[in-house]
Amino acid sequence: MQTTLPVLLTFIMGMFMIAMFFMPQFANAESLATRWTTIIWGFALALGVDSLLLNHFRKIRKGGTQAIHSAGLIIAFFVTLFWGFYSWWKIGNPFDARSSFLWMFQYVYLPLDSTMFALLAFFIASAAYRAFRARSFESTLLLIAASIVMMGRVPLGGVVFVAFFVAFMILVGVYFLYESSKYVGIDRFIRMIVGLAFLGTILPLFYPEYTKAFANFIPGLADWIMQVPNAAGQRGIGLGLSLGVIAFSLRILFGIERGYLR
Amino acid sequence: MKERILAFIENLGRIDSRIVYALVFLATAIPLIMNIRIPMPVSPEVKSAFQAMDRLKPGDVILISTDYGPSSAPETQPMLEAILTHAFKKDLKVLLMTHWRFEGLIMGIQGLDKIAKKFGKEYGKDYLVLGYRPGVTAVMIGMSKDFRNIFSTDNEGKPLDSYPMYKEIAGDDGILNYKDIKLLVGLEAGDAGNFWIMIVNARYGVPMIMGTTAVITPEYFTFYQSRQIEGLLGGLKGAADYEALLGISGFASRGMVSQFAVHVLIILLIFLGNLSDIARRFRS
Repeated sequence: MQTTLPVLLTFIMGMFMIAMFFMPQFANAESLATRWTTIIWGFALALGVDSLLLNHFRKIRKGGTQAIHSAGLIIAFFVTLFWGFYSWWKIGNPFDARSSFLWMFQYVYLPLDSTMFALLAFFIASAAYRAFRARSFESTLLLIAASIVMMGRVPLGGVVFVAFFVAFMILVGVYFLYESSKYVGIDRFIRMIVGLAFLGTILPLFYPEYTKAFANFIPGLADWIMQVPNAAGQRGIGLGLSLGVIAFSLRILFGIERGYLR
Repeated sequence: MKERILAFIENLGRIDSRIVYALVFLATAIPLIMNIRIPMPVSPEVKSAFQAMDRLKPGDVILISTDYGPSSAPETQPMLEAILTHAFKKDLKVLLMTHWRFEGLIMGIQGLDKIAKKFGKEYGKDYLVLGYRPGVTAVMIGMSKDFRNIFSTDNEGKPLDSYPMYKEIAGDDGILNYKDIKLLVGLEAGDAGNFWIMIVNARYGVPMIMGTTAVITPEYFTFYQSRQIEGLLGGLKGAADYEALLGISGFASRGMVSQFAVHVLIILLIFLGNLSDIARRFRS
């Protein structure tokens, strides 16, 4: 009974919601159901707060080095809560421009939240420097595509990309010429030709009009990468995800998947 | 000599993390402090979003959903301010709401108050703040018949229909729903935007434009290509492009130079890292 009733309830409500979605005759019932859903969401928020606090109280009881962080969280939670209530009592609305709660939001919460997110830039820069290596065809392709998009979406990106392109071509060209010295005959000849070809690609860039055209081409290329290969990949991921969600939802509706009851 | 050069190049890949952090900080801070601005070409998806707004007539209603928090505000807040500037310039009526994070509402109100003050717009007459309701899809579906099903009062607790703007935009039947919304603007940092498109555009046919953080922008290009959204503002660049189209120079245009400097720095670091890797392989 403990399992059967929730599964049955899920099935009935699920089928009801599907019917409401496709049949306009159920519009009023749908409106009522959605109002219920928003009320349940409100309770879910309260449950979330309860679970968060219990979890951190448990961590404090256990002790250890992490307990201080849990204590910080609980203190911050109650300070915010009471501050909000105080402003509500004093001004009538905690989000009024005169409220001290809004001051706290503006000058404490907002900078803290922004700082946490901003730290990502530092870690991404450091991680990319240490780990982003062109060791395979796929990683090289990703590296080139990422560089084009990064440069194509900032001012003067095209000009800087040209500089990087020249440096890269010189590097690869010199590498092949150097490698050719280790070989003899046709192998040496092929490597020399490849090296010279790489070096040759930069020759047109000695003409300013070509350099300008190439620099202007980069933002367009970045847009193309976003709109064609990226969109194609995203669409594939989206379709796969949606099919997965449909299959999983059906499993829940028919009581095959019962993980949510635990 | 060759060995010494290779050793030097290899060492280029061993720069201390703290130096990398300091360089990122300087690359971000210096252009912001010096207030450097460089013009750049506008992306077609932003131009399309601008045109969708520009086609609206004075008195038309737009619904803005500020589904983001302070962490993503540097990208999305300039979008909100630019879109509001455009809306008030054209005398559009603005409704503001959120259903993703409560902080989105506060960020939205701050932006709205700032721009409304600049244009001398009045609360309740030219714009209304519906407020925050959790529930995402349930909120969207609930609003389809009558916004008052979900937002019986505005954010200040007064009945929606007590405002002159409501009476003006709700029409003769006194009901405000998606039929009265000429354009929906979703400013998104999460997946709430997907639901706006899947539910409100697909089911109720509301035209919409999206402003998204750079991280989730690639996901939205599929919707832009299929014309489920009329335009897309992606990241700070999207906001800067919109500012450029409006002929204003706000925070986004200023921040683009910082973004440029950090992007160049990251590519340079990746380049040095790879160079060092090649040198290491040569030596070994």
